[in-house]
Parts: sequence; C-alpha cells; structure tokens
Amino acid sequence: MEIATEVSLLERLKPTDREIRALALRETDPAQAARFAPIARGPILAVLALAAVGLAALPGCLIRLLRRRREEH
Amino acid sequence: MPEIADVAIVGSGPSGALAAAHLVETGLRVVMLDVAQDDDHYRQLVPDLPFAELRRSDPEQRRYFLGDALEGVPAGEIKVGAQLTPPRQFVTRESERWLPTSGESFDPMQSLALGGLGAAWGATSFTWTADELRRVGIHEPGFERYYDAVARRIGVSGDPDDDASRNCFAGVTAAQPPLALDTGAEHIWSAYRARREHFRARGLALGRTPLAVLSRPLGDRAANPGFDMDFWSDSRRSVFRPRYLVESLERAANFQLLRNRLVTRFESGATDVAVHCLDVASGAAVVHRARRLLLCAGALNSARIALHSLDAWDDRAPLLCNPYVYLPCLQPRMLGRPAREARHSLSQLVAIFSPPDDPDDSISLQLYGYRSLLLFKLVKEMPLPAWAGLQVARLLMNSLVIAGLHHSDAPGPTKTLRLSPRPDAPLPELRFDYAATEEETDRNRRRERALARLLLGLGVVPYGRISPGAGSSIHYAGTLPVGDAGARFESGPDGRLRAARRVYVGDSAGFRFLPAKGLTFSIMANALRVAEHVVRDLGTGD
Repeated sequence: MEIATEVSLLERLKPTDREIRALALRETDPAQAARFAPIARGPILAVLALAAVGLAALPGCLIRLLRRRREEH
Repeated sequence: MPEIADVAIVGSGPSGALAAAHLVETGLRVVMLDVAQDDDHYRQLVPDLPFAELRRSDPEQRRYFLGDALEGVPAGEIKVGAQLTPPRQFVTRESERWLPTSGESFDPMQSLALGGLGAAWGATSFTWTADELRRVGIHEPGFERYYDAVARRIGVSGDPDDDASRNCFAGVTAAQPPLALDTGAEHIWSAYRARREHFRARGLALGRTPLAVLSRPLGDRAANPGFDMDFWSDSRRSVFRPRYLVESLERAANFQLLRNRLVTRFESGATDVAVHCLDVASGAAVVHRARRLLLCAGALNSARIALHSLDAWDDRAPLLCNPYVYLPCLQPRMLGRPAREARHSLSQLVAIFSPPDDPDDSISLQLYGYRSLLLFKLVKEMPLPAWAGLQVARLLMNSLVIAGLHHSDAPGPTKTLRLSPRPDAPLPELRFDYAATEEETDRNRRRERALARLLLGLGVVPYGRISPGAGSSIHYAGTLPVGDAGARFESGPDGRLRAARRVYVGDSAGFRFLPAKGLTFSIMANALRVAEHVVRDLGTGD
C-alpha cells in the first residue's frame, strides 16, 4: 500500500500532457534551440546545477501537489 | 506473371524478403502478398543532415519530429508502439483494424507495412549458438552459412572477435568493420577492457553490437553518415530495411509484389494452394493460386492464418516472447562533459551475461544513448515542474544510458493463443493468454540484479527498472512450432506445416524456444534455409 501511494505521488508531480505538448512545440522551434541544447559545464558545476535546480523546484512541486489534490477532491 | 505462381509468400518483412530473394534467384515464379502500407508523407520531409544541425536551423523540424498531427507527442499512458517516431508510425497503421487481438496480459505490436516490423527494426544482428539453435528446433548442420549469406546480402557491421561477438556474432565472415562508438560508450568499453578478466570471471562479455548498418558502401546504399537520425529517417539507406530488397526484386520478371492483399486463409488442394485475400483498397475478395505457400506474416499472423485455414477454433497454440525490461542509467563520468555530435543512434554495445547458475541460458543487454529522442519525452517522466525537468534533462543528457535487457523464453501452459470469431472482421481475433511462471519471474529478477551490479563496475549506474509488459519486446515466436506432438499446427524440421503439406512456415512461428538475443537476423537466416527446402520440393523453375 505504501509503495502504491508513493508511485501515485510521483505521478501527480509529473507535468501534464498539455505542459508537455507546449514544451515539445517550443523545443522544435529553432529560434529557441539553444534553450534545449545539452549543458556541458564540467562535472562539479553540473552536480551543483542539478542540486540548485532540485532545490528551486521543491516549492513548485509542493504547490503542484496541493493543487492537484484539491482538483481531485 | 502466370495465373499459378510457383510460390506465394505472405508478408514482405525480414523473412519474406530474404526467402523471396533466394527463390527468385533460382528462377521460380514468386508472388508476394501484403497490404504493404508505406510512408508516403514523411520520408521526403526529413533532410539528409545531422540531428544537431536540423535542431539548430530547420524551421520545418516540427513536422517530422512531432508529426503534422502532433502524433509524436505521447499523451496519457505509454502503449506498445509509442516508441515509434512519426516517420515510423506507418509501420503499425491499420494493424488494429485488420488484425484484431484481445487479452489483457499481452500487448503485441503488429504490422501491415511494406517490410513489416523490419521497417522499424533496431538492426541488431545476433547469431545463435549451436546449443540455442538445437533448442529452437533447427538441427541442420552448418547453419552458420545462412547467417553469412544474410550478412552478405543485407550488410552487417561488427567485430566478430570481441568477447560478446564470440557468443552472438560467431561465424560471420562477411562482416564490415564496426561503426564508431559514441563518447559515452567509448568510456564503458575502456572500463571493460581495463578489468576484462574480472568481468569474464563473473559471466559478463561485452562487445560492439553487430548491426545491419553499413560502415562501408554496399551496392546503391551508403555507409552510415553518423547523423544520429536513425530513429527518424533511413538516411542514405545505411540501415537495412526489407523494403530495399523487395524493391530490387520488383525489377525481376519472375517476381511480383501484390499490394493491398490481406491474406485471410488458404486451402491446400491436390496440386496447388488457393490463397484467399481481401483487397483492402476495393473490399473485394481475391484468390491467388500457387504450387507452394510460404507463410512469412510474422509469428502472430502466420498462426492466425494457419489456425483459421485449419478450422482450429478449439486449439491453443503456444506463444513465445522475450521478456523485456529497460534500465535507465546514469554514467557519472559523462556528467557535464561534451559528447561528439557524429554518431549513430542505435545500440552501441552489447553485453552477454551467462549467469553462474545457468551459463547456457544467457541474457543479453544492449546499451543506447538517448540524445536524438528529444528532451520533452524525458521531461514527461520526471516528477518535476516542466521548467525544472527541462534543466535537469539538459544537464543529464550526455550522461544518460538506456540499457535494454532481454531474457529467453520457453513454452509453457500459461503462454498460449487461440482464435476467437469476429463476424465484423475478415480475420478472426487472436486471444492471448500469456503469463510467465513465478519461477521464471524470480529467476529473471535475480539475474537482472546481478547484471545491474556488474554495470556499476563499468561506470554505469542504473536508477530504475521499467517493465513495459509482455509483448513489448516485439520478439514473437513459437506459434507453429517444429514438433512431433501430433498437433495440427506443428511444422516439420523442413518448415513444412504438418496439416498442409504444400504450406511452409518461413518466419519465427516455427521456433520452439527463444534465446535472449534478438531474433531478426536468425529469422532471415532460417528463411533462407526454409526457402532451400521449398526449392528442393519444387525443383528449380524454367
């Protein structure tokens, strides 16, 4: 039961189909190509950047989770 | 072409194309029957340029990367076939309509395309060992010569002398040199060579993946240009597609491809076979006659046609399909490091893992990069807001490795298919009952864990396990198996269907075991073998 709840939680945090569609359209716009290129800035910087993105995304994740729970009820 | 052909072949996929090539060369009059769906839209749209350059500059890229109807943007749950890019989606077009199936435990991919499932084949070209061939039901001595003949015809690159290839690419003398590895795979290859004895002692052999991809020109086909566009286009025809062979056969006077033909059943008479078809363009019923019929419609559909023809409504035929899982992995060494743009998109390295508890029953693992599949598909799977997922995906892109893992499959009472009437369709429904036993599942999971530990030693860290479910390997077999149990749907060692002596099985339906290594190269080699039996049976043509 615990595992099922955890999976469901992660599923709720994933972007919606609409968000992905918008992202796909932006990604294939050559004017925005640089925003989608792989980032290669050295291993240490990459780890720091990953940690920074994770921390910055945390409040957004919680807000999304609360909003989707409200929508489900 | 005369009214009665020498041989009618059902299907234009890997087995049908190779068998046809051999039969036509012997002078026999061959007619090939297939719906032969083709891509009449995207093929012309994709420029012959590198992926990175197209991404940077082509204003039309959305059309082929996402599809004109955005069919390349997956929505909802991922289904079998979702991995097909818009230019490849013709492979499954109309298959659900004409080839009905049911069964919650098995989700197959079927094709009515010119070239069949071979039109989207990942090109891995593995040979089976003598022991594996024996378990499959092929006892013919010197079977290696068929592998060599296929390699010469379609063009295969690889290194027959590396550790993995000794097990999965043995005896192929006609191989072209291997393609260059991508940057990440080079590091994995170096890590393996540095501790080779350590890995060998634990049952792991690594090597370059043998691929039906040219590293040197062959006929009118060019070497792979390293454009990383292999999931999107058939750039310079470097990756073999059965369509190329069929197109070249169409120039021969003794060969004819009849399109729009959905074969529904056959009747084996005293002198010939009547092959009943639906012309899917006009809706008319059509009958073609041939002295011999060669079923090459794929293991599922060949069984459907045979069982339907034999009125075998109460029979349960066996069904084999390699269990498949993939492990998304990180390669920390590549984190934040640049990767070379020139590369091919297909499997870079193959590992054959012979577990100490059963060294004769290997499992295979193929390693892929991810880059040319676009970031949005990756972001879709991340439990992060889209903006954050995008940044993470950009950072991880060059260090992502996808490990695809196949297990072997053996028949059992819980793996069957049967016919079910469908009055509204020209062909009956195939109803699947497929479940691995608990023992098989436990064994496979144990082996996956052992293999994952060995991957760590290669600098590759698995961070998940995704099981797309039964049917997802698209490796189907064993539905009309070589056997002597007396079942009507069995075939003989020469490929001949026991209940219809003028009908041969030329595809994987005849295999009674599925080794863990991909089956397409062996399907083609076996099709040549069965075609030789057909020639012996008929005598050569005029």
